[in-house]
Amino acid sequence: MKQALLLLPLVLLAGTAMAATQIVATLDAPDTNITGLGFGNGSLWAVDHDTEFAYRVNPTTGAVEHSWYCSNSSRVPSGLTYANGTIYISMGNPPNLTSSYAYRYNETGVYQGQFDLDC
Amino acid sequence: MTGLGASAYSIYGAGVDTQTMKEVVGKYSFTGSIQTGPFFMLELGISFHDIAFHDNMIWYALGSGGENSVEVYNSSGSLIHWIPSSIVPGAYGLTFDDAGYLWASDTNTDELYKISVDFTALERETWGAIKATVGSL
Repeated sequence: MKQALLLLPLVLLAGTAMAATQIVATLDAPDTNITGLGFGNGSLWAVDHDTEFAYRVNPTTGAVEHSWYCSNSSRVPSGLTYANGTIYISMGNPPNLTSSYAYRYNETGVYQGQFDLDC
Repeated sequence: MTGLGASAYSIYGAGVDTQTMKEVVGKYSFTGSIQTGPFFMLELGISFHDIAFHDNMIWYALGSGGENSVEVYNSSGSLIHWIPSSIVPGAYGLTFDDAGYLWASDTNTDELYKISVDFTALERETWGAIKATVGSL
């Protein structure tokens, strides 16, 4: 009985394992407040919450290969993802990022449309 | 919504529902049509920034200063994995590359981290420890 009680925490631990993880490379960020990252077509894509610039970054060298200003009159950028050849940047009203929309851009930074994220 | 992630078929937007204060993840088509309502809406009690969607789980970037910088939840809201701040000091932006590496931006150091995550290795170690403990009893 005592043995079973001793084993119980270990069994529970196995169900929620901490990640065996390590940083294998570090790059200089393209800006000072990058809050959104995506990956697609061989590049990292990043957005800065403060400057409201989006960046295409070489994931090997960290070089900025392209950038564009994605400002919205009232909303500020937060998250980013890449899918299907499109960069999606979430923007909401500060401070709590309410009334959020996803803004869509092609890889050269040309605006493609937006949709409401409040579900 | 503060975070965005993507799978091969969908966009995932994560935020906090202002009425219930629960963490909510919406699932959308690439053009923005919402699919089957919220992917989940649960009270996780976390403060997060960007997200990544990988292996059908939501990876939350928790910033810095806490015990963990990244936490991983399944669609039922169960905490499955985590990355402590002692290993990755800060995570704000979050994504996976095509090779399966996790990338995180840290606004304190102005750096981007490429992170190798190997849960299976740790799970082997964990079960190895259990076997060793059983053997010693």
